[in-house]
Amino acid sequence: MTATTATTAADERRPLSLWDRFFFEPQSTAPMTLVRIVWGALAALWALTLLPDIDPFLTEGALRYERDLPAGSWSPLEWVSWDGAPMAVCLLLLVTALTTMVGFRTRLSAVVAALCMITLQRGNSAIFNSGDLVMRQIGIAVALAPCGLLLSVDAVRARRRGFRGPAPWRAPWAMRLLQLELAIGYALSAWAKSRGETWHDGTALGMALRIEDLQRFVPPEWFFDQAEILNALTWFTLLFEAGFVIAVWNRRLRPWVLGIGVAFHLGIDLFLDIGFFSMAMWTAYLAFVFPAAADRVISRWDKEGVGESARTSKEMRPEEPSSPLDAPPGAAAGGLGVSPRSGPEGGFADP
Amino acid sequence: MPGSEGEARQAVTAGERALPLSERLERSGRFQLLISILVVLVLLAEICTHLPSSAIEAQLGKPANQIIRIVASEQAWGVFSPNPRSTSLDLEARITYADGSTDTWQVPEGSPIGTNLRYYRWRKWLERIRSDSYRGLWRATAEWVADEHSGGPSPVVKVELVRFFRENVVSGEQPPWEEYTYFTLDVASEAGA
Repeated sequence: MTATTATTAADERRPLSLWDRFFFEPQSTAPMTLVRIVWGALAALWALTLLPDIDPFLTEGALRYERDLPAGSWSPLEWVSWDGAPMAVCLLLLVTALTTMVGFRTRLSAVVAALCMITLQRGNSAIFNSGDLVMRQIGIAVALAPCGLLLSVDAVRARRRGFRGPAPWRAPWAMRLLQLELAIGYALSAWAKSRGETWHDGTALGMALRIEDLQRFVPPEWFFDQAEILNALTWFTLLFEAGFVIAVWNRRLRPWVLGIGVAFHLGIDLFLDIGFFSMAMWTAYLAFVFPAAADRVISRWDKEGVGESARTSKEMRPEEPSSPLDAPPGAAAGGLGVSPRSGPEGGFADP
Repeated sequence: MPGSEGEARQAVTAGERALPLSERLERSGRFQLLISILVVLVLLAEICTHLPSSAIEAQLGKPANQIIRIVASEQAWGVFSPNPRSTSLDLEARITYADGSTDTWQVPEGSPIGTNLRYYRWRKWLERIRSDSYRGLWRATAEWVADEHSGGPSPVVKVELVRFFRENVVSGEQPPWEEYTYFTLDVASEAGA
């Protein structure tokens, strides 16, 4: 090994370098494209289901919960006195969620849709739950990420104007933020539960399923007599939530962790009527789909955007550094900010 | 920014691609530093907003909440913690008309598939409206119920908000519901006054 290569290898192992690679090394935007499409559809459904209850929940003088906003909070509905504003914002959310889904003026659509969702949620804090907050968080990530480069109206329009070739790879910092928020969120949830005695004695799950005003499909009565199963499922919940933050960054474990998570939230969704919570979590999981796998999915409909070589060759791209902990030393072979997709021939601009 | 990116696209000539503003920023060291600081700040603030009561929470909880609200990233990861609530809840409004007849308003519910995506918000509202910390909404709720029933057989003279609650047991037969009238709106006397 020469002195030069030794120095390079040492540099690659520096914590700062790993950090940069994790957040800023360009990669395919396919995972966030999947997030964008599903979130757009879900946000449109969210708006559609809110429309019938805009009055009384968000119209002045009825069931709108008015109180002084906490420090730091801002709510555009407080700035306008027009009673029709909540309805207008909800309709605008419906439209911009759909345009985000199809990728028309993607960045603008996503920014407006996320702002509309924040506005509505802050308009009446009494009617929204943690799933709504996750929906909002995903929306912010979609607005921050370059999500319109693949499988979008914007991409089609760009090609019609003469932009050819695959879409450029981009820094994934907004996707990483969403991933970290979700992973840390699970850990915080486990931490909060660990302070409760019913999570220790294994009865928490049974207690939760007995809350009649939260029930969706009611488990059969015999299920509540299976104390051992209820204990095991309660502790499994704690284990899953506490373990997610570590295990999801391991390439080999990630598909299993996500698979278990999908089943976990399916169980929650079946028995507890908590709106968009599980669907929001599944949508956020899409940010964890490996770029190569997401590319394969997207390439079924957008071959040109993904690019032939990306679909057929894994050697072309560095393996995704799932985390600074397991990033391969040679992952940033092209140097930061220089991607196989960068440069003048690299396709089209972020819409 | 969309405008700048549009301009960048216009600038493409003879096979050259002008990088959009967002991509140019991503490649800038200063922007990467700024993003890194913001990411750490937001994540630390989110963690601090979920700390248990402690000296650290007393110091950092308030500023962390402010930061998280400014960036609109407030999260609620304390679902069913520290324990799931042990009670089931319900609410109804009892309406009395001037002619002595009565009616009942109940929190709307839908089917478990489809319309549940609308009515879960009413359930969340029910969970909160019954509690003393949402006392400010009780009168508004009673007035809204009275208004909803203004087309009844005669004018509404009274609306009572009634809480129902039951202490759940995991296994075996559930105890009966208990009820408590927690707010009364006397429409007739208020109108007279």
